[in-house]
Amino acid sequence: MLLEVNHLSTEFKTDMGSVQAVRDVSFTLNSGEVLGIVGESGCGKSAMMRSILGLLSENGQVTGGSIVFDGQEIGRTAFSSEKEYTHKMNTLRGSQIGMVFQDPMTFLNPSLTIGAQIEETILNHNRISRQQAAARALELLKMVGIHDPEQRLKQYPFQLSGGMRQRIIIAIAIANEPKLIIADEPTTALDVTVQAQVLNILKDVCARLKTSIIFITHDLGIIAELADRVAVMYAGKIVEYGQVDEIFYHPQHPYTWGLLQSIPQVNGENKELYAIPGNPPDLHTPPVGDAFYPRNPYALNIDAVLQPPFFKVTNTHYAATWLLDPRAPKVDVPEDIRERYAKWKKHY
Amino acid sequence: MTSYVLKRLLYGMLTLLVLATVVFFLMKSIPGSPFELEDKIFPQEYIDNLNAKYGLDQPIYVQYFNYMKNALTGNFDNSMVMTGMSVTYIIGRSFPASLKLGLCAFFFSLIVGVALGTAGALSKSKKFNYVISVITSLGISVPNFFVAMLLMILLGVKIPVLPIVGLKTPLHYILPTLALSFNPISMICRLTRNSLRDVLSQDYIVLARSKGTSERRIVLKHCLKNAFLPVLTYSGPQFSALITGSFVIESLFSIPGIGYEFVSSVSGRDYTLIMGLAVFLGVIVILINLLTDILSAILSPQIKLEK
Repeated sequence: MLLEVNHLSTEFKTDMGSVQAVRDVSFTLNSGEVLGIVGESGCGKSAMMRSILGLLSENGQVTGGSIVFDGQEIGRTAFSSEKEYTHKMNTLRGSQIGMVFQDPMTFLNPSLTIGAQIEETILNHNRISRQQAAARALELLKMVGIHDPEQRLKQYPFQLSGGMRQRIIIAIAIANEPKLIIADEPTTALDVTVQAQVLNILKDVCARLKTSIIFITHDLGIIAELADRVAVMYAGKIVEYGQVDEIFYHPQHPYTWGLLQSIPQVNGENKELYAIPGNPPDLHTPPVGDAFYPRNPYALNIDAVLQPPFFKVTNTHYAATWLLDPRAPKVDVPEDIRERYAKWKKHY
Repeated sequence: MTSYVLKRLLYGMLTLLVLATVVFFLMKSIPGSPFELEDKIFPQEYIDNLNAKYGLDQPIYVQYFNYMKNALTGNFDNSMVMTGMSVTYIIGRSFPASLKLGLCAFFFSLIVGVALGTAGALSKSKKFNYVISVITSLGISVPNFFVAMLLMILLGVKIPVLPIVGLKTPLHYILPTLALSFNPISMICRLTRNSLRDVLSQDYIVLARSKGTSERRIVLKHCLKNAFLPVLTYSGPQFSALITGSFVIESLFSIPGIGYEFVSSVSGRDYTLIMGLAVFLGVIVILINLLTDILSAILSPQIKLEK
């Protein structure tokens, strides 16, 4: 087990009170595994990942839970002072855990050269000379498929395209061959044509270095291609998790159904694209019952008052919906999902 | 780069031509002449002779061309009021004092302003930031002659620890420097604090943290360079303003500087001195603006000098 997150909660202080962005989230990640985390914008995916690395913005704060990475407790609450915590995290960030960010246009420092920005992470964690670091940076640029690497090292971010900058960010993340890479929507800001290239690079490099990945996205297509396991997040909570096939072909939570129904089908009939009705809840005042209740066409009365626990579907597949309770009435699963179930039956 | 500098210098010359022209006609539009002021009652014959000597009896366009010819060749003639002293001599006599005082005030403002602004941006203490806000608001709104008089009364008269007349010893520099710096310190402090805060909340700072970079290095390497640009844009013109002397401060502390000289040349209608000083100060401002632009380009790779 590489990473174990238990009951993590994170809050952001705003002028209108505190927003509970992450609410009691637990999950685990095995070595070499790719975990996909899906959910709508604002469901707490990024806040959760930044909580793990302690990279929340100034108004953000981890309020509870534990994070065990590689056998060591690294949750903020396990340290007595901010200084001690930052010191510990600085030895992990960039060396054991790398992070790939969403927008390559804003995450590189505009006034430092590409070379300086890559060498920095190398020099932060290795006692080597500048020349050795520069040689390593060159090697990394080749690894992420950048042409003219010698030239690029001397250039500034504004001289590079979005796709190239994202490769630079990947090069920074893998520079010290970390055990874990957290990729926060790394392809969202890129052109579709470049997305695939960047994904392949990330996939290849991580496979070669045996790096585990936590991949945050709202693009289910990417998850299907990349992930071993998937966790679906809604309103700051994980609502369903399982092996990638289980989530795609045997989903149990009505929210997962909604997400899967919202994928446009290339060969489907000419029908209107499904959209989950309504909006996610306001997390200044989180709902008492199931957060998805108001938007859920399959909601039961109990959803309004009591949060559903995780029900076991298989040893690897769990979903937090009252529909799985033995006392729940049988519901008509949407047609698209029934088709998916049929494919699932054929294989297993 | 070289072609850019040459181009800018050429534009600078054009600016100087325009400046000299405007100053010439403004100067001529003020009533009176160097020899016809209330306190100088000369016989008419005497005045006519003087006017003829300095060419003031000729039509205005002839005077203008004569004057421009002299200005372009750097030959400013003699002062019309201070007989026997050349304009160049007067500049050489008064500029060093203003320059030395201006340099002291500028570097003092820059160091204190940037240090205070950085401390404010990094400090989480609300009280400290509140104190800075109050002091800098005062610094921006209170005129420097008021600060100067306050300092003179407090540290020169009531508790006489510092000299208040002239610039004889290093100690003499303290009070005028303080009086001149209060305003620029406040501006630089605010600019530094705001732009540093802005930079600290940028995405690329998160990426720098995700590399395990220490806070100290983040501030020094990732922030200050980016945050300094607005400060530089302000500091350039401020630098020229400070080294070209302040009439008010020079008068209050009895410093024989160029600011004092300029104002008295205007009230004495000393045409040659006015024009000489205007062109001299114009050259300084133009050169410093060029220098500021070059420094900005060095600081931020995205600013391209060539257009």
